[in-house]
Amino acid sequence: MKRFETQFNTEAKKLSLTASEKALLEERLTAYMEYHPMAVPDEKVVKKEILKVSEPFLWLSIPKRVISVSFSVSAIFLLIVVPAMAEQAVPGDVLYGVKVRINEEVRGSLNISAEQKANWETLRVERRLNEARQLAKAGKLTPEMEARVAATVVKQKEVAKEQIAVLNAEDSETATLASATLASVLEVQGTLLEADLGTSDTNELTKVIEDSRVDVEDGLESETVSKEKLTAMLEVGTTRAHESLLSLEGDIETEQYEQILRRITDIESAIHTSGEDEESQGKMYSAWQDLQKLISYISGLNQPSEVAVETLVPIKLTIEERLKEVAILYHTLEPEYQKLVALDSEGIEADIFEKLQYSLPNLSDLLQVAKEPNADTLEMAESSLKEAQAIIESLVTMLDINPDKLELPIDTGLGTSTATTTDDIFEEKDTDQATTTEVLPEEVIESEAEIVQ
Amino acid sequence: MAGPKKTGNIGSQEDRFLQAFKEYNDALFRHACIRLSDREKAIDVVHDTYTKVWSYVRNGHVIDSYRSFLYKVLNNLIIDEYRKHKEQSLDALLEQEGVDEGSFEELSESTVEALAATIDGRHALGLVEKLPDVYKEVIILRFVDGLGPKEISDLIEESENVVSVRLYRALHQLRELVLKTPISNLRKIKK
Repeated sequence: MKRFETQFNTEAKKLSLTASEKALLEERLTAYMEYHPMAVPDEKVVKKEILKVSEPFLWLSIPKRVISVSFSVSAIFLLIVVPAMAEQAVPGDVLYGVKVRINEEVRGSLNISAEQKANWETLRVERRLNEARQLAKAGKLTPEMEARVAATVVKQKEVAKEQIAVLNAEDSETATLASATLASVLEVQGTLLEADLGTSDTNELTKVIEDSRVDVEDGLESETVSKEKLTAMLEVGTTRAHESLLSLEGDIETEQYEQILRRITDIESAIHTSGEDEESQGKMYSAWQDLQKLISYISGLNQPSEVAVETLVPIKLTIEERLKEVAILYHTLEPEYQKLVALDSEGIEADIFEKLQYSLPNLSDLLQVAKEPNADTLEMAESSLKEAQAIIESLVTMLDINPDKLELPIDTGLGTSTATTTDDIFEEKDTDQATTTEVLPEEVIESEAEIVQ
Repeated sequence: MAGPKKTGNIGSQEDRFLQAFKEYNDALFRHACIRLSDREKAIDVVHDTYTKVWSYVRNGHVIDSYRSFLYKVLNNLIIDEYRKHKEQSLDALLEQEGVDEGSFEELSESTVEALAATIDGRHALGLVEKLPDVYKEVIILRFVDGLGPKEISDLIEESENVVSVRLYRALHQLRELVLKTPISNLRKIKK
């Protein structure tokens, strides 16, 4: 067969393309190829190519859309959900580190000016105290945790003070107000925490907070802040207070809402009625302190509290309210005076009766001063009535008369002092100027409620 | 031969195709020329073979063995050519020309070799065109193109046994033709 095959093949090999035929064939073919080039890979096919995740081990067919969606969801979770959840964390929680070391550091880095930085560090003090309240309410404020929170509060207070010191180099007035704000925050949050702990015993943590407040207020030169600066800051601050209060509308009791709103109005009145004298600057500074307490109190209402706003920021009565209150007290004391006048010597020791007779003209004069007061004589009327009330109470005690029989307005709120001289009463007035609703008798409270409404 | 695989490597596919042209154009021409007994038609069929294969490649398919694939396309085109110029179907043609597709049990390669050894190869090529095409096909594939029974079997889509039987019968007829035809009467195909 080999021979046949060789012979056959040799003959066949004589058949071949000539050079020109081959060249022509090649030319025709290449021309065809030029007119029919290789198709460009379909982009859709390329897009659907499987993703090579880890060549040596596996191929995962994961559409790019799924990857991008997964990435977006993960990013949202890490950048929005986790930080938002962390905001509710308290010491001991898993996410507390995220709250303090990431959320707060990021927020802190957004503050540029020294004032913004000081305010932010003050807010961080407030946040630490707020966390302490949450722990207290949850019953998690163990002695160890308390010590940890106390150390954190002190440390954070020092950081805030450092920032205020930096601010002081630029703007001493703003720095003084920032210190007052920090002190107010410590006072308010300390009071709220004390109430939440529900014990009158001195707590180590509340003691640390009080010491911190004293430390911040130490050397504070409130008189260095100009009235113009205070006015500007108060106007900004009251706007912020209104906004904060509005955010709580519906979440707190209407009465509580009204009480807070009344305090903001008091502060606004202080701005508008301030004069040019030195005393006016003091009132404005006091209004600033009240405003900061109020703002801190409002922010503390994210948790229920037994502390009334009156405890922290007493109400400031208007002239009209004070005049009405004086009138009410006058019409209460005057009948008692008439009853004392009507007493005769029968059954009364001679020296005591003599004292009574000696006091009656004085009482008459004091009541006369408060009979028809106006804005100019208001303070005199208030002090006269306070003195008259003290004298009547003293006489009742001496005469050993049943107060019910005389229907004396015991503890009227104008003072419970037994001072018998006008000077004493004036001195007392200086330290106890405010008239609170808590210490007024029922009928006076009702009257005040009418005024407020 | 070729699979459904796709590739985006354009340059390498073009290079492989042109390389296949250089390697096999003569062999394909020779095969077509003997089968069709027409040099011009053979060139056209070879050209068509390559353009068809190129169309297949440009659609992104990958060809593993160009040799087998080119012969397969060429063979189909030659059959088409027969059908185009002969009114009868190939099956009818086979029947008319008395091709017996009967099988030889246990027909061995040695039997085919023994038969081939009795034929004068120098004169046989000119007589191949007288054989029915199915015989002509296997003779050329086997002794001109040098394909083995298995490759021929894959190419013409018949079993190896059928290929061997067909080859035996083809050689048998070819020997008869060689013996019957005086050397002076042998018509040489146009070279």
